Amino acid sequence: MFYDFWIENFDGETEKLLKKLGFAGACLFGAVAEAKGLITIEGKSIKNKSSETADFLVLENIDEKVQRAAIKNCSVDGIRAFVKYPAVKEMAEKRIALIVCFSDLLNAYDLKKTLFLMRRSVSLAKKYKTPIVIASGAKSNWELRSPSDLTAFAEVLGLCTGDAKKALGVFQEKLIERTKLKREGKYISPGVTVIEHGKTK
Amino acid sequence: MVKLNRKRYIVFEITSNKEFSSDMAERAILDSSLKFLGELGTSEAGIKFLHEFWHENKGVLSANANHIPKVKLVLALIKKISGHDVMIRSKKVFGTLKKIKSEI
Repeated sequence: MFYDFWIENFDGETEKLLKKLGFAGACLFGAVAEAKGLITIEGKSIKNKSSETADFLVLENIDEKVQRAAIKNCSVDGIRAFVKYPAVKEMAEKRIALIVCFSDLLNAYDLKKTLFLMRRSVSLAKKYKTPIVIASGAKSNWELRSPSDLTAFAEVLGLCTGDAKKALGVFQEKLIERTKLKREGKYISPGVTVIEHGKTK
Repeated sequence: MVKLNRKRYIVFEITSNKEFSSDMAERAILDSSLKFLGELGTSEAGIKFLHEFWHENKGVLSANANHIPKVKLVLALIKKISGHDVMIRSKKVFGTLKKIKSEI
């Protein structure tokens, strides 16, 4: 199953289009909406260290110091920026995802530089086995892309076909499962969940 | 004998408010290809627009089998055709022309 984990604009038409394109779910940034037949979770992007909470919390900052501080505290689920060596390795250890959005390439001022930086980040993430999330990053319905197009984008960035397909679903499924547990009140911390409540307190 | 350039056929669909002619679609695809892949990349990819399959914003491209992800990305990178917002989706990749007729 494929998920588009970065959508900034969501309405009825987006929902129809996502279903037509073949997505099973989406993560909505700045647009809270319920969708029938689609799994939706709420995402929030932060620029600096903050105590905000969301189903999917993402850091958008190119400053390496801020990135490393966020990784050290495990305060985010993903980073949407071009990352370098030590940060990528720490992200792999803490299972923090590298988020690559297609809209960054689509709306890039300097296409070749953006593509170079994306390819470098992805190749480092591949080397250190950091989770990679490929998303459309759509700000309007025209910027939505199908799973096959996003897979092709991932392949051009340097992933093999299998990894490219995994980048559209594996990490996302884990996050959706965590969100489900959180909503049921069974999630405590990474690796600790309530299986069954005891009778005594 | 082993073929050096194995072809694949990409069926694509343009989502837009306007209906475009095959010439307009071909021009947009070649422009995007030249911008993204360059002259050398475009020639290596062997992109060819098949005008005979163009029907209601749906068409077919033939390309080199080893360059399919690049060609799909070229299609996905098109934002506008003659000033109109578009979304181009590559639907399926075929190995022979015979099977395409059922898809279109």
